[in-house]
Amino acid sequence: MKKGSKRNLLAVLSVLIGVAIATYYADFGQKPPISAPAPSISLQNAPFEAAAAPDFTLKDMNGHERTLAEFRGKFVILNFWASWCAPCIKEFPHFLKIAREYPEKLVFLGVSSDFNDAAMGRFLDKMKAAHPAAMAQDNVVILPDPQQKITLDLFQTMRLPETILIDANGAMRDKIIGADWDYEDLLNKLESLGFSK
Amino acid sequence: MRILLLTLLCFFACTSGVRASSGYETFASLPVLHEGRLQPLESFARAQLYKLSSHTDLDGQAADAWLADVIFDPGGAADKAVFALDNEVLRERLGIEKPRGALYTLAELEPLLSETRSEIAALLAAEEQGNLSAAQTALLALHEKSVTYLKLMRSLSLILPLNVEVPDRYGVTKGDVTFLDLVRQETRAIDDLKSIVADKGDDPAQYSAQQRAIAALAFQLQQIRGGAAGNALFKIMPLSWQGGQQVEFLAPWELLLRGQGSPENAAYLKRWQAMASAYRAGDMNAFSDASTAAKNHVRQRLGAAYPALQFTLERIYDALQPYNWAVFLYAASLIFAALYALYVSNVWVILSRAALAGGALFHAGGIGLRMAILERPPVGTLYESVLFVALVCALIGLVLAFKRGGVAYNFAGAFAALGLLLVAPTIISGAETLGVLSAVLNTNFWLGTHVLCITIGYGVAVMTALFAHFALFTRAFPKLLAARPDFDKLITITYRISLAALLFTAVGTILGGIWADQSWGRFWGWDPKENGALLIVLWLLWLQHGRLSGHIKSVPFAAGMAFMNVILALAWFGVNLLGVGLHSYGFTEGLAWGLGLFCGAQSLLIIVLWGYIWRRERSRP
Repeated sequence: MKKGSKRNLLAVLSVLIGVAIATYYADFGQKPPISAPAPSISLQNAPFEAAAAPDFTLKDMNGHERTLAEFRGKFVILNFWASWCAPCIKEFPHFLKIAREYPEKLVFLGVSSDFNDAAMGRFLDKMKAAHPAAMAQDNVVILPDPQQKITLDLFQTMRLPETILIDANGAMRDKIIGADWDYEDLLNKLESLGFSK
Repeated sequence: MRILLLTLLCFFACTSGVRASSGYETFASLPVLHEGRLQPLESFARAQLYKLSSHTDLDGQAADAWLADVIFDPGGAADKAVFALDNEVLRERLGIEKPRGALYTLAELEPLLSETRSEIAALLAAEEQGNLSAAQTALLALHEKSVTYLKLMRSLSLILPLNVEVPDRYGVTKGDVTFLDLVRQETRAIDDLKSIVADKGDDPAQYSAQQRAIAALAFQLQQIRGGAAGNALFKIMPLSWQGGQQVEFLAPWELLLRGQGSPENAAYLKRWQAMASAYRAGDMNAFSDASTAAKNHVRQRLGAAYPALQFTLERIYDALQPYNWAVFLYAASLIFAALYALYVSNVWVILSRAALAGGALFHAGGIGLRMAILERPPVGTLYESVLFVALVCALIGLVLAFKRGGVAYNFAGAFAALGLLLVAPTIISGAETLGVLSAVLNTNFWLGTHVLCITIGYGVAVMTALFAHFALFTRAFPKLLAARPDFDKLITITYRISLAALLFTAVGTILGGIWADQSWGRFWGWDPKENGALLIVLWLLWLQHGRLSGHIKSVPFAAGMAFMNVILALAWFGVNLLGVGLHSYGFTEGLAWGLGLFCGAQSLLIIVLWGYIWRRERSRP
């Protein structure tokens, strides 16, 4: 083989090997794809980046102004519900149960979108009858939001029920959409987010 | 030289007029997730506009400005001519006299769409069995386009002002109300409507004015919500609730209907609402400010995941249109080379070489930008393979021109590159959008080795065939040109280049086998694409061995190598037409006729040239 031909062949092979090595490292060192399917239920997922929950003020059933910030230091279950929403009614007792179990460490904030006070009152009376101890606790707070200023404008909640889990530092750690879960799922989820019994 | 400058000025004038008026720059760079890739809104707009109209701008209005019109002012969008309709049967059925190539509005198409809506299910079933006529295929495509357009029009319908009358009892006092303002009254309105129906029945004529307003409101809210279901096209909202390091985007309606809203996204949607308000008011300064606020918001939200560099490169790619420049410069190189052949002068050689080098620079720049944007090797789709093969041809021509002198190499490189660049967009629909890959190809290692190697082989094979054509022409018409290339030299060049073609195609084919073994569990499966690659290798081996052994003389060798083009076209594009095998990932619509024509014309040309040479040389004493 002529000297020039050898040089050409060497150059071609060098380019091929170079491209192979470069792409090998590019392939295995690259960032994960951005096209992964969105989660269908958030119970299994950690938040992308835990953002701080925005503070808000609403009046409770007794007419007292309550803020989210006053519960800092405790885990907060921020539940958006309405008495006309069947899944909301299904999951409500689970929240009362967990609030009853951990009165010092956890707060249940139920923000209601009910426009009809009477309907909401009837539902809460039923809950009081079924879970009198839990409903009487300080860590169970019902906050009517008939104009949905907090529900829709602030937290962009349109598909009831939606529940945001906020840690003791005030960071929104996850969201539960719908009521397709039970008490154990909720407890496991809270524990996975750092909640200790 | 004056002619060259004049032509250059014309080209500048042609490419610069598309940019829309100011105010859209930041809007155009907002992130959208589309077809698995986060991209600047401008690219999304271009892809959508191209899908609907087969254009990437509309009468000087850039795609981003067009999209702003559609999403922020959907009321006017129905009367905007945007739909391409080339099928004569459908055009006749529509009954609107317009010149071929003219665009139609949604309002103009609506009678045809309404009339044929009941046919869609049957057509879709027939499509699965491959039993559609050209008109039926066009009709299905038209319906699909109309759905896409409606989705775009309704993308932001939850934050745009609604033309509805809101009864006083709902206490909505603000002027321009949106769906998000009214949705909180939806349950109440439905409850009220139930009471009205229970009291007065379902005939609105029996209702009072306020009751009719309540009924209308409940109905309209349901209509808007129903129309938004499944509208996941305009994915601009970064998801807040998800695991790992992945970033998922959803469309606004999709976000809310799936319960994925968050305080961050509520704030981001308000930025979009501010953009919409400013746009509708015609205040482009406020629109630009709102766009900047939105961009800052999403950048902060995504942090390190925000692909700032890719976005910048993609916008440069969109603005530069490097392949247009490459086409222009290759054409110039070709003209200068042709002028040299007619009027031998070194000026033409220098100009031709400079133009070829410039074209290759833009061409390589375009491919480099694509690589950086898509973060993958240069060839991943059929369209990209054509782009890359064209560059290989240009570079071979350029290297040979500098190494050996003469203008024939310039001509060959420019001719092949120009031909491939011009043909590429016409044979592969939607090619110029930066698409993602099907799963089998989504492996950078193999894209960088097997695919690259085989496409380099294709490029070298194209040049082999081209030089073989030159050799045949030179032999057939030795006195035609003032600059006469030597036949024997051309045969030697053809042979040497064919050796390089053999090296790359053979190595590429073997690498493909190794990839197939890893991906599909077998080295060789007699897949049409594999057979095509093998055919190229065997064809080259046969001719080279025939020449070496003296069994194939120079003219038949040149004819055989010229026929390489046909073998290559069949292996490269033809196998995709078969629709079988694991390699059927290319677009082949409308390709069959073009391919058949090319192969027929090539075969005829070679036979005529060969026959002419044979007859002429036989008659010689």
